[in-house]
Amino acid sequence: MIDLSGISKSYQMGQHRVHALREINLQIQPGEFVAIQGSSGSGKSTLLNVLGILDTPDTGSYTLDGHAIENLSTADAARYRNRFIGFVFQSFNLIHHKSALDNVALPLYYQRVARKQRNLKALEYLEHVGLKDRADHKPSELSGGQSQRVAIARALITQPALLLADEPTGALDTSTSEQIMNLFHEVNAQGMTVVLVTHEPDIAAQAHRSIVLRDGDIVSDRTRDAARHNISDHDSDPVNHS
Amino acid sequence: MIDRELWGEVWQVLKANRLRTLLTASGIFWGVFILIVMLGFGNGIQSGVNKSMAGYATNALYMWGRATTRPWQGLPPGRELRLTNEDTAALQSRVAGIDTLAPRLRLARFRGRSDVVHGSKVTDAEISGDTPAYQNVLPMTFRHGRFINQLDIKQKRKVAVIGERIHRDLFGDDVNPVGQQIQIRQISFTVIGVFQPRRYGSNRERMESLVITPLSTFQQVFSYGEEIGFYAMIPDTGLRSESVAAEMRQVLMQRHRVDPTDYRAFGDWNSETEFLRIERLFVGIRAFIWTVGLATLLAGVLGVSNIMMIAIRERRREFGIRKSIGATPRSVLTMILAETTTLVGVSGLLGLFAGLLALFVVDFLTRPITKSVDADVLFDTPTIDLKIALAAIVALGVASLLATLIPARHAMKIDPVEALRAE
Ligand SMILES: Nc1ncnc2c1ncn2[C@@H]1O[C@H](COP(=O)(O)OP(=O)(O)OP(=O)(O)O)[C@@H](O)[C@H]1O
Ligand SMILES: [Mg+2]
Repeated sequence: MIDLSGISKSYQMGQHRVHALREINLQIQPGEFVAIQGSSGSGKSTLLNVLGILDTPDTGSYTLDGHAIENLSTADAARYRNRFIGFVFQSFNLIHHKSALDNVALPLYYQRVARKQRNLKALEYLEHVGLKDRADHKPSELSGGQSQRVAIARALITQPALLLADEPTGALDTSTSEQIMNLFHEVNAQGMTVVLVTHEPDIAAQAHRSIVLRDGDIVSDRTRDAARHNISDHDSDPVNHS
Repeated sequence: MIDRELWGEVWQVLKANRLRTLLTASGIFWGVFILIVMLGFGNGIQSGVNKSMAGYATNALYMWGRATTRPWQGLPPGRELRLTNEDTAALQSRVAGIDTLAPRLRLARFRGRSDVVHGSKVTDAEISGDTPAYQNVLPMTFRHGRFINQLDIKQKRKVAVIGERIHRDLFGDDVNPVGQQIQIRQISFTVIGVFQPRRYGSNRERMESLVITPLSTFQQVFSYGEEIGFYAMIPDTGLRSESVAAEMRQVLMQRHRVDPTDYRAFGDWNSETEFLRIERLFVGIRAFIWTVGLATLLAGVLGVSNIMMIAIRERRREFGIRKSIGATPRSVLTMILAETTTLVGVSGLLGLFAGLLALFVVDFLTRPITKSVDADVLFDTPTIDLKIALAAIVALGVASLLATLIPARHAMKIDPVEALRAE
């Protein structure tokens, strides 16, 4: 599914260079649930952005689902993001002037799906995250947990193969976090690959695999043995990206 | 380029930022509105002036004899110059470029009047001797009868064409006076027509008080012999009346033995110079209107560009989000340009319609004044060349698009990682 090798990314900060990522090698299999941990500034978001083709590394190669992701045109990158990848952010990143429904439907707009169909589908996904009755609400009229569920519905509506979440529960209380995590478990159980950045140990503990970054290096990469999550439960081509 | 989906997206954005949309739109709206209204008024004034001048041959030139101011060929200065029928014949045969040459005589001094009598009724009139050619100088229509013709001239008939007030005062409005007699200085004339100038303009009272007789009759009965008072001349189309006048002057100087440099020996006045001055004035007015109108539009365009710039900065995060979920840079650009096009197009067209409506209302309210027969207001139905108006809006749209292109390209290049970094 994901194959990173030798990925580096650094920023020039005045006199010295900040290495956000150093020679990262990482493989993620289809259907995995991966948590990325690390202290602030360790490069978690940078890694996630590289995975999501939002950011381009300085060196190294990245293969996503068999496609080489180097030297993609911006238009192609946009198309990959739209088709393969769903994003969930800590700060929700909903468009404030659009209703929940229109926010969820937006990725389909960029797939040139007609308005009627995309609204129908958006409503379906809102129902799935339990917010059908909030379809007409603007983000400012939603609580944090509701906003994040809308954002998740938006990430899922294109049925991506890969769901990337950058501290999705960072702004939420424990019980709301639990609801959000349940959604992630659910889609993962259906075969979607989930990569989640978090600094909360109990969130990371729910993942099947846990990666720890420090100063742009992977310092630990542990896979839990089939205790909580058993990918062999869904062995027959779990990745469904039509 | 604008499909239905894009339109929906654009509409949502414009609706979401109502105040900003309204402000931008009103800039464009007023620009177009002002341009349309000013152009309409300019045209209205111009056609009003044209209409008020339509009653006159706008390029007519008048020439009369004065006195020599220099000695020439042994003749002393101060010699009175009197034009005659022979001059008329000479001018007609020797000067090319004359369309109409109307020799004229008047009974009194300039604009002076004499009594005209019918039975027991008396009124005063400006009496002239004219030829059929005068009709070209003063275009007219006839309520009764006809104008003087060649036969009247040839046979020196004692006939007269009278103005409307003379008709009214001597006969009464509903009496056909043709065939009736009037007396001027105890000489009887038969009325052959009642005329109405094509347009009265500001000279109504004077025009209504004219009595026109055949030139030959006039010369005989009022003892003018062969004398001509002055000429009214219209040049062939395309010729300047002044250049034809120079030739006329040359012929007359030769015939009357006048020093060719004695420019004051013959007087002349021409309406063409006045006319050209008015034309030039209109060129000026037009230039002014376009300058002000285009400046207003330019302000509108800058407003659009400015507001789009601000809007794009404000919407950085939105564009970042859009890109993170699959918007291509091109689609971002297209959307912004579509927003501008919609905004400018809709508000421009609204401005156009409002402008046309305003002109219509003005026309409706001024119609009773401008359309009355003897209207002498220098204003007529304000009109607009729709092609010019639409061209202005298209130019406005293109200018706005170009002005938006810079901020739009900026939006296109927004880095989603930067834009989405939690603040
Ligand atoms: N645009 C940038 N310019 C300069 N330095 C940057 C930029 N983006 C990231 N960095 C630096 O790169 C390093 C990694 O940043 P990153 O955002 O990936 O950290 P993180 O692990 O997500 O931290 P946090 O837990 O605070 O979100 C940091 O030292 C950061 O300061
Ligand atoms: Mg981060």
